[in-house]
Parts: sequence; structure tokens; C-alpha cells
Amino acid sequence: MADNGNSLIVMDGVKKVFLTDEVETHALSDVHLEIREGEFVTVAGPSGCGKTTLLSIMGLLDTPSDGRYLLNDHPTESLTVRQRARLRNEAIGFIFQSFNLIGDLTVFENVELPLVYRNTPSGQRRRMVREALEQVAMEHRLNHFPSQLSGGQQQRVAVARALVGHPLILLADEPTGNLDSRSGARVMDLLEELHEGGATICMVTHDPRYVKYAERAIHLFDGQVVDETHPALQEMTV
Amino acid sequence: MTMLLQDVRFAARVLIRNPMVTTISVLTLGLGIGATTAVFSVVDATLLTPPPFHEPDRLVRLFTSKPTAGWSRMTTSLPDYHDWREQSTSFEESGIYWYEPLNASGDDHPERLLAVRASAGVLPVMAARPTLGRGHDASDDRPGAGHVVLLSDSYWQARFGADPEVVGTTLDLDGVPHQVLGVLAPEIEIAFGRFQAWLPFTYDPEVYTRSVRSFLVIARMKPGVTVPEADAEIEAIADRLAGAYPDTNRGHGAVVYSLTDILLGNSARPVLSVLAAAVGFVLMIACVNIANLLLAASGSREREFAVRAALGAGTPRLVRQLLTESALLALVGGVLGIAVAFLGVDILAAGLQDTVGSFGEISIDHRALGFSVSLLAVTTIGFGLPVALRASTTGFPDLIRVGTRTVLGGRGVRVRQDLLVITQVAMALALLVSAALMIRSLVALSSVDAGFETDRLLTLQVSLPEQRYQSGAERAAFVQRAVDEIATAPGVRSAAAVSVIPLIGNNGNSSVTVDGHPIQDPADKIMVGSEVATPEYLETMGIPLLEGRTFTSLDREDTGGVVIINRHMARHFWPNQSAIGKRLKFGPPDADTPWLEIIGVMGDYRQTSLDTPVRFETLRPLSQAAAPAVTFAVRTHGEPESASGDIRTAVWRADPDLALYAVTTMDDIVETNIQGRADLAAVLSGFGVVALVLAIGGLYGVMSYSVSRTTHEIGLRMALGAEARTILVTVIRRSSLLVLLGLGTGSLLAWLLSEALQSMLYEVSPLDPATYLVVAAGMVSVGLIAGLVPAARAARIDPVVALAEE
Repeated sequence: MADNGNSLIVMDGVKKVFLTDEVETHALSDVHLEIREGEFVTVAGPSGCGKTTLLSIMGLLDTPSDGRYLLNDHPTESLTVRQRARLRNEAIGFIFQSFNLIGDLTVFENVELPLVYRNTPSGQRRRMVREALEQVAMEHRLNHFPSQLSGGQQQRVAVARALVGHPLILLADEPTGNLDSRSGARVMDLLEELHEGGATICMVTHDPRYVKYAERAIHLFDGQVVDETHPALQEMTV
Repeated sequence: MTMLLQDVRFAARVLIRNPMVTTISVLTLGLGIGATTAVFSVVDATLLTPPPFHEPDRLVRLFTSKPTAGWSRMTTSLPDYHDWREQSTSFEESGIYWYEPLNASGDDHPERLLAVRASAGVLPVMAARPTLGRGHDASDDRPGAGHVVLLSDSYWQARFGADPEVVGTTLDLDGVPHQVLGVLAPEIEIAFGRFQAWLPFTYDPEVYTRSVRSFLVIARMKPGVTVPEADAEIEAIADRLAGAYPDTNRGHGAVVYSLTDILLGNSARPVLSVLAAAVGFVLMIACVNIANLLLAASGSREREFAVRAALGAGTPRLVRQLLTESALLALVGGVLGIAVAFLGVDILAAGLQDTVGSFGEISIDHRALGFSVSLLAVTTIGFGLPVALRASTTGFPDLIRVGTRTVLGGRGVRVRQDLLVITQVAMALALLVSAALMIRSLVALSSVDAGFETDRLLTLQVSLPEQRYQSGAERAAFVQRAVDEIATAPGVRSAAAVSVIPLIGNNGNSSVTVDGHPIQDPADKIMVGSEVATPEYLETMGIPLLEGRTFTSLDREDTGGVVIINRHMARHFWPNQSAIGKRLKFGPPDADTPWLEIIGVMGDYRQTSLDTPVRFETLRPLSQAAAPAVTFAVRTHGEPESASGDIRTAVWRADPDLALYAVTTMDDIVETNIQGRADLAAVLSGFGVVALVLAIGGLYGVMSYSVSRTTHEIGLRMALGAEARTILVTVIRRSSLLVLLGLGTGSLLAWLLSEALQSMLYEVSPLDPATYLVVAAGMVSVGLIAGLVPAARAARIDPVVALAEE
């Protein structure tokens, strides 16, 4: 993981407009933000405020309609689909609310996927997958299929998959949204451990219990950044 | 390589973990590839493969025609042929020929041979030199010329073990030694049918005059001349001949046909066209099924591909994964398809041999196999590929949208699936209607009253050599002696002889003059079927004698001529009175033929074929008009085959040197008569059932997928108060609507397909409403069942579970 200090994500005047049936929907309007190496940032806001759109653009799953987005100092506007896929593979680790494990693949194969797409040699792949699963304490479930695991276990496997390629940043989309409170707390503890180990994390959440894990919370409303707080210093109000 | 293995391993796992989708896909691919390849192979071996002759497009056959009677392919007279030959400019070479049965002296019993008597021009027309020795020349083509013979290739191999020393030896034909000149090329048998001997054309022009139309003509057109051009020229010549010889040629034309078309058979093109359409439908239904399955599967895998793309898989990587899965599916389906194709070709080749001719062995056509495999592979890939492309190019908002339920597939997919199901149902209806029409024709034909009893009736033919049976009296005496011998054989109930037994395809007609019924125009001759028989014929055949008497031993050559006519003829000429005692004679009014007294009226029967309407029939005593060849009809007490040995022995007691041939039962003759339609009905039914299974499978798949996709919605509806019955009705209503829309479209397709079948239909219209209604009702019923299963599943959905599920 990167050391705290340099800017990993810089957004400057980012806008996102959706056109549906001749109606323009401004999902993001003039967003400026910066995430530095080693930070743990949450993006908070009410439903429909643009959190998902922001995370999609940040993860190179979507492109802004206007504005600049630099990922690790690289402008992303002019990247081809192929370049975006490669950059996504190398720089971003995704953790989804609904886990998004592939049912036909074993735990090992699910975690292995980002390395397969990176053409990592198989011996190295095996070692890296084992390390990632050890980090989330799931190495004993290597050959299980997702359907054989509990929700909390599935999310830990998803975290291992996000970690395995040593990305620059982990993007977590409501990682506890589909979990009971006990499992949710374990996942958050895991993210905190990773952060303490140096991982940069950007997490979308609207659960006030988990905002406190972050150093910084960005508040969105109607597609705009309306506030920025430091939960470690003050209680958050949503 | 490691990546590829990983892709293959994953692809195999995906297929194994979705057994229903995989099984239906593999079966669909197998049936689609197999059926398509089999039929295309047959079409290729028949319609698309040219016959193995030198420049076959230039080979034609010339016929006399009589448009007013609807006869387009009549035999030709020798003088007419000579006029055609001299006056035409379209032909490079031409020849005339006819077939003649002969007896060859064998080691034990004589062997019956079929000989072609051909003029010297025939072999140059075919441009096929004998493979051994030489052909005969014009000097051999005259009455009384030296007795020479060429052998067919198959007879040379079977009888002489392909011995090249056979040239120069002699072969006794009808008791006359013939010198073997050579052996003909094998392709001659394709053009002239299975024969054994090839003799010079020695028919006497003094006997075979312009009124005697007994020969066939073959010709090679000059380069650049087309069939319509040659046809127009020969028609013009026929017009001139009709003017020059009105007594014999008035009302007669001439027509030119491509030899290839004739060899393929009259019904080959419509039959094969219908088969090609049928298999095309099956192939399309298979493609649609695969497309539908993949659309359904792609809906459920959208998320998987989006995840893969989010993790860094580029478009090529996703496409490769999908291609591997499709290729594996196509490989398994392809292997099954090849097995089905081999089986199908054997079945089709055996089943259609009576309907469709071919110019060689029918075997798997690799181009057809490649075509069908490619088409289905493209479909397999084409309908799966968009998922991979969409996942990698259009973003993934659904993937990370928090708490948003993704509606997999969406409205677009649903509309496409519905259209595909409608198409399938439409094509299945078209095939089933065609099959049903053929079956109805078959049933109608099977229930046709032949007019005689076919049960336990054995028939066997014999031809009487001219050299040994020169007079009619000698022939009649032998036949009666043989009939008497047969009648005393063990197991025989009764026996008779007739010139041509019914239903073996003889269309011989003679013109008659009916006393008291003059005709205004010589072209409007009264044509009748003309057979001769022994007195026991009507009783043995089970043809009822309605009025008068049958022949007796008192009807001799030196007594007054007598004739029995059928009821159809009697009613036509003497509708309100008895025909007994009335007179008719063969030939025109001024013909020097004796008047024959009508002594009996027999029941109507089908002489030429079951689907030909009853015509005027006449029967004369064999003692007064002996034929050169006869068929013995033998009614037995038990199974006719078991008595055949004793019956042969009985004939040989009358003449040990005669060859017996075409020994068969009347039941087999009737079966052969309807075989072509039966084969087509069976093949179409097979395709129809395959189409129905595929279409209903497709409907079931779509409805099942729809229910599983909307489980949450159904749960919500039930939570809001919808009853199970309401859910059931909603699902069934949708499946029924799809079936009904398919039936509407399919009716038009069915009409087009059955119009092409018209020549094979018997007593049923291509638009027969009952057939359409019954098939449609059947499909609605099956469609309801296919919709009922997913509907019942939908009605059983537990709203609590459905709403709790992601």
C-alpha cells in the first residue's frame, strides 16, 4: 500500500449528466475532491445524492460528463476502454454491497480473478491468493463455492479479492449493507486493520455507526459536495 | 495455454452446473445439425450433383404429347422420330430405343433379362464408349441383321465376374445365340435404368408405322441450344406432322425434357423442396431455441460479466471466455449432430429411394455439415456475445447501485424472446400442418377401394419368347396350361393370367370405336384400358361380375370376339340400359378389326395406380388376343410366399425354359404404390414432431425464465393481495398469447409450404380447414401445458421468501 501523503484521487469540477427521455438529470455537479494515499474516506449522503455515481467514476466504471479526474496523477478522460480495464485491474480494488462473487467459481478462483486478468504467473498467483485469504481469515475455505458460505464470509472473500492485486485504493460500496450487525462490524474491523496497514480506502455508507471508522467524511447532497467532516474529531450528523 | 485451460475448465463447469440449459442446447444443436446435414446431403446428392454424363445439360428426351388428353410424355412412333431427326437443327445426335424382356439360357433355370433395343445413335448421344469391346453400328440396325449384344456393366460383373474374355463369346437370348460385342460404361445404367443386355434396334418399319407409338427418344442438343429452344423447334415440327398426317398425328404434339429432370423423378423437386423447407424450419427453430436460451442465460449472467469487467477483464478477455463456452457447447452438440446426421442420411436414403432418384451413393455432405455447424455456432456465439460487449463498454451502474434491484434482461430481451417464441410456434405449425396433410392423403389413399381383393394374392410375370411362341394360339395354349398347372399346386385356391396386373404402373391405352357412339373429331378418340385374361381372372382377383358372363373355354380364336367392360364405361355409354350385347372394336371406325360383343360388366377397379381415377377398362379373353407377356395371379389358402416355390415348379412343368420374374404379393404392390407418400409423410411428421418439441421447449424455457426473473414482483403482487389463481391466469394468458400469435403467423407459412406439396396431396386441399384447426388446437393444448408448469410454480411462490430474496 502507498504511504500517506501523495494525492491518489483528484477530481476537479466533475459533472455527470444522465439524459433519459429528453430529461437531463444532474447526478453530480461541479465536484471537487482529493483523496491522499493512506486515507480512509467515507462518502455519505441521502439516497439519490450521487454517492453511487461518484464511486462509479472513481472506480473507472463510468466517465464524467465534464471536469477532470486524475488517478495517481494520470488523467483518465482520454483512456480507451482497454486502458481503463487495465488501470482498474491494477489500481482499484472493489468491495460491493452484494459481494458479487461468481457462483460458479470457488473461493480461490474468485480471489484469483484479478490476477488472472493481469496475467500473473500461476505460482505467484497461488501465493498471493493464499496471502489475501489469510488476511481475511478465509484460507480454510479455499475450495468452497460462495453458496456454501455465510454472508459475512462471502464479504470477507470479496475483500480478499479486492486486496489480492495490491491496488492503490479500495473502493467499498456499502460493504455492510447486506450483513447483520455482527458480521458488518467484523468487516469494518477488517477494513480498519487494512487501513492501519497502510491501505487507502474510500467507502460509501449511510450507516452512522461506520462513519467513525474514517478519518474524513465527504457529504453529498443533490450531486454536490456540501460538507466535509472529520468523524474522529466530532460526531457526524446525517 | 494455462489461460485457455482455465477458460475450458470454467466453461465445462458452467455447462455442468446448468444441466437443463446444457441438455436442451446440446439436443437442439444435435437435432438441428443432424437433420439439416442429412437433408442437405440428400438434396446435394440429387438436385445439386450433376449426373455423371458428358455435358449432362445437353442431354434431353423427346416425347410425343397429347395436350387435349393431358398427356405430356407419350412414347413415339418410328416415322415421327425419323421426321424429328431429319427436320430439326437443335440436336447434335439422337437415338431411339425400347425395352424388351428376354430369356437367357442359364445353367439350371433360365434367367430373365431386360434388354434395351437401341439404335446406333444412342451411344454417341451419351458420349460413353464401351469400357470393353465396341458398340454396334448402323449396319446392325436392320431387321435380320447379325445377332450381337453388349452387356451392362453390372450384369457383366454379376454374371461373368468381370471377365474381359467375355467379348467374342456367345450368349443364348430367347434361344438365339448372340455374339457379345462388349461391355457398356456403368453410367449408361443410370440413364437407362437397370438392364442387362443392349441390342441393336431391329424393329421393322413396315410393322411399326406412324400410328404405333412404342418408342423412346434420347438426344444431345448442340452446344448453346437450350431446352426451351429445342422444345419450340420440335413442337413446330410436330405441328407440321399433324397437318401432313391428320389421321395419326392430329392433336398430337411433341415435347423436350431435360434428361436430368426425368431421372430425378417427377416428384423429386417438390418433395426435396418441401424437405429443404422443412429442414430449414427445423434449423431456424434450433437457432431460435439456442438464441432464446442464451438470451435467458445472458440475463442471469449480466452481473457475472460486469463483475469480471470491474475486476479488470477487457473486452477480448470476456469475449474469449464466452467463445470458449460457446465452442464447448457447439462441440458437444456438433458430435451429437454428426451422429444424428449419419443416422438420418441412412434413413432418408432408404426411405426416399422410391420417390427420388440420385446419381450415386448418398452420403454425408461435408459442406452441408460445415454449413449447419457454422450457422448454429454463429448463433450460439452471436446471442451470447452482446453480454460480454455490453459489460465491458457501457458501464456498471447496476453493479454497485446500492439497494437497487437489477431487472435482469429488461424489456428489450423480453420482447426479443417473445418474438423468437412466436417464430418457433409459427414454423412448427407449418411443418405439422404439412405433415398432417400428407398423413390425410395417405389415409385417403389407403382407404381407396382398389376394386379387387389384395389379400393372399401372389403375382409372378413371364414373357414368352417370340421364337418359340410365334402364334397367338401357341401363347394362349401355354398360358392356359400353366394356369391349370398352378391351380393344382398345393396351397392354391385359384389361378389366372392377365396381360398386365393392376397397380404396377402400366398406363397402356387403346382407342376404341363404340357401336352407336360416333365421334365428331378423330382427335377425340375413346381411350380405354385394354387387358387380356384367362376365364378365371375376375374370380381370382375378386373383381365382381355385375352383369352378363365371364369368358369360357368356348370363347376361342375362331369364335366371335367378346369383351367385358367395367361399370364406369357401361354407365357412360349406356346409362339407362344394359350394355350386354352391345359392340365395340379396337381402333378407329374404319379399322379392319373385328367387332367385339360385350358379354359382361365387371366392377370398377384401379388399373394404373390408386390415385388415378377409375377409367374405362376392357378385358378380352387371352384365347382371342394373346399377349407376349403375362402376369399370373394366384390366390392362395395360406401365406402366398410359402406357396411360391410350388407355383414356380408348376409353371416350369408347363415350360421349363421360361424365366419367372417380379414374384411378389399384391399387398406389396399396393404398399409400393403409396410408398412415396408414406415416406414423405413419415419424414415430415418426424420434422414436425422435432419442431413441436423444440418450439414447446422454447415456450417453456421463456415462461420459466420469465417466472424466475419476476419472482420478486410476483411475491410483491401476492403481498398486495393477488390470489394464486390470478397469478396462474396471468402467466397462462401470456403463454397462450404467444402461441396464438405464432399460430396466426404460422397459418400463412403452412399455406405456402403445403402449396408446394400439392402434387403429393390426394383428396385433401392445401387449405383444408379441418387439418389447420386440429393441428392448431393440438398446439394450443400443448402450449397450455408448457405454460401451465411455470404458471403453477409462479402461483406457489411464497411472498415472504420472494420478498426476502435478493
